[in-house]
Amino acid sequence: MTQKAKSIYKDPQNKRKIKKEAQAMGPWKIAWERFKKNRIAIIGTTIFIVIVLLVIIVPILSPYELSEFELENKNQPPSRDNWLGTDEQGRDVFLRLFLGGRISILIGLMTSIVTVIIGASIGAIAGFYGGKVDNILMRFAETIYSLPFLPILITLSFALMWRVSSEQKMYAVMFILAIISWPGLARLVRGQILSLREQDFMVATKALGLSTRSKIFKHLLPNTLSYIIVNGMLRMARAILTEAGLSFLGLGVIPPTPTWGNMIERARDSYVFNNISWLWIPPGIMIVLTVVSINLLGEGLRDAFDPKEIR
Amino acid sequence: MLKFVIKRVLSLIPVLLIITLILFVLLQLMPGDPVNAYLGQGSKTTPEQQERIRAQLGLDKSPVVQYFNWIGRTLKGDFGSSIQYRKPVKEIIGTYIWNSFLLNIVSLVLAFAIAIPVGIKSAVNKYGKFDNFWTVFSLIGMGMPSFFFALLLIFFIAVPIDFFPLNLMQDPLKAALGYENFFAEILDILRHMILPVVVLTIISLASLIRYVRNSVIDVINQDYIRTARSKGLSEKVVIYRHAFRNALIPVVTLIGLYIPTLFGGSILLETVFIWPGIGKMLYSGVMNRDIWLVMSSNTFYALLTVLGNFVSDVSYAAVDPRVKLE
Repeated sequence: MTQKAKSIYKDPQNKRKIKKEAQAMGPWKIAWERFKKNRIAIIGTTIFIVIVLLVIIVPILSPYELSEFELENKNQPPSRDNWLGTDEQGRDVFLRLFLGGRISILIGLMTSIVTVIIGASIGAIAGFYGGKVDNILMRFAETIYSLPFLPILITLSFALMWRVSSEQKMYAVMFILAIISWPGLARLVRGQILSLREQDFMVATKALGLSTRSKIFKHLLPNTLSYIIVNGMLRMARAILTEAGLSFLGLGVIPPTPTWGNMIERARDSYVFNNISWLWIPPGIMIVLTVVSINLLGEGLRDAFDPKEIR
Repeated sequence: MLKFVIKRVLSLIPVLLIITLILFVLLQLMPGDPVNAYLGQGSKTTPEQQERIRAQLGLDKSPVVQYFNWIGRTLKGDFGSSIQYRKPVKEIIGTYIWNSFLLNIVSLVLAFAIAIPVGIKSAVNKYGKFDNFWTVFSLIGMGMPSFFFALLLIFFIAVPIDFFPLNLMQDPLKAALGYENFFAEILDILRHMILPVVVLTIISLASLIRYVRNSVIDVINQDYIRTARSKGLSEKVVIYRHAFRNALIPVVTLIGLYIPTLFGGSILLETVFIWPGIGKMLYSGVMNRDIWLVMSSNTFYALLTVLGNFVSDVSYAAVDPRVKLE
């Protein structure tokens, strides 16, 4: 949070006002009000929205096509026609950059969603049932958690990728990333559910005779939603980085489907690295911008949801 | 305490067994036949010869038998033989592992040595210029893919400045001809280490500084610090005598968790810098279907991860008297 935002809370008059408002507003409204006042988080959110919009719009407006080869026009440096130059097959790098962004961001988003679904369900079930179920599920989670992340990812990708056609590689990457990254979230949700389970409103659900499914998915999980959203955002940033690393090693999504990771991979060719730097520097910068903006957004959300922030 | 440690060590064994089992299943799913990889393409061998090689590599039995054989052999210290190098895996790992340790341990020490004072100073002057600078540094560091950062450093520093080598661990010419003396060899390795160490250190610094800073802020807000201040102690004593110790509790436990993360993350860097470490070896092993090499190096990483978690748990219990041992 910025100095300014902090000082708003410190001012006793404002503090009283905020507290009064807080009584009248629901938790989501309070979080939104606080989020709006966090200037850095708003900057991050704006950058992220701009990137998402560009990634959607640029390929639509671009005069070029992904499969458009112009071999006589290859390896051109940035110019007025090709803002980021062309690659060794004469394709427009500016277009590929944003098409690649589509795939990279989509992989990040989907990985995060799948991870959240698996992690939250397993965590909720373990926390709700407790006892043996909890023990088995958490042991399982602990084992997956102890897997060395990148080495296993490399081995797993190599073992599975050759069975998958190149168009489906994108989904395979999401799947692989999700199945090894859910345990962290499962632990978090389980801890939350364990404490929520003992609260009065759960006695009420029992008195009402609600089904187990409704208890877990309608009453317990929504209470952990703020944690899940924040965790999901930060996971999305991580997944974008991991996918880039995997594609850089040639084990993720492979050309002709562009992603930021496999665009940087071109730099492993020493001629491209030294002479055609517009092929690999822009996707790297886009990754940094995207991941930083998502992290800012996620941290802003965490501060906004955190009840400790108003005291 | 001893009982706790023994109990934790015993609980590691099933976890390790399951991890190696998962690894083994993964290796069975790998494409291609290791025997063909061993022979190379277009080799003229009779099926009998191929079967002999298969038996030599220990691949002629059923996967279940292979797995138990592997465990038995590994416990005896025999890691099988490498397909691409045609040498015992133990020998290869033995040389490469130290190169990785060199890179990672130096970076780890540097990262902690920088992060602790910087984190404390940032926390003390929260939202000051110093804090803001390092916050921006951390944010960018956390968003930067390590391999991209490495490429940028090579492009903008190593290519224009002759002093910095582009990659490798030693000058190939000098290494082949032999160094004038031992000292020259050390200097050469150090020169090659600078860029990879800078990348690894900065990448781990980014999250570490945030962690130390937040941990110190948490402690500074506690009542006993207010008591210390109201007693009239100088700010220095309050921070470095009273706050410092408690703030470091969570940081100490991080060391255990950082080692496996660092080693895993350096796979990408070792590939970019062609650093002859275990990560580069794992990558080329995977690409060349070098089954026992991949199995052993992955087991090494698994061991490192499991031990890291263990060290983190035990150090937490050792440093923080409030932690109750079951």
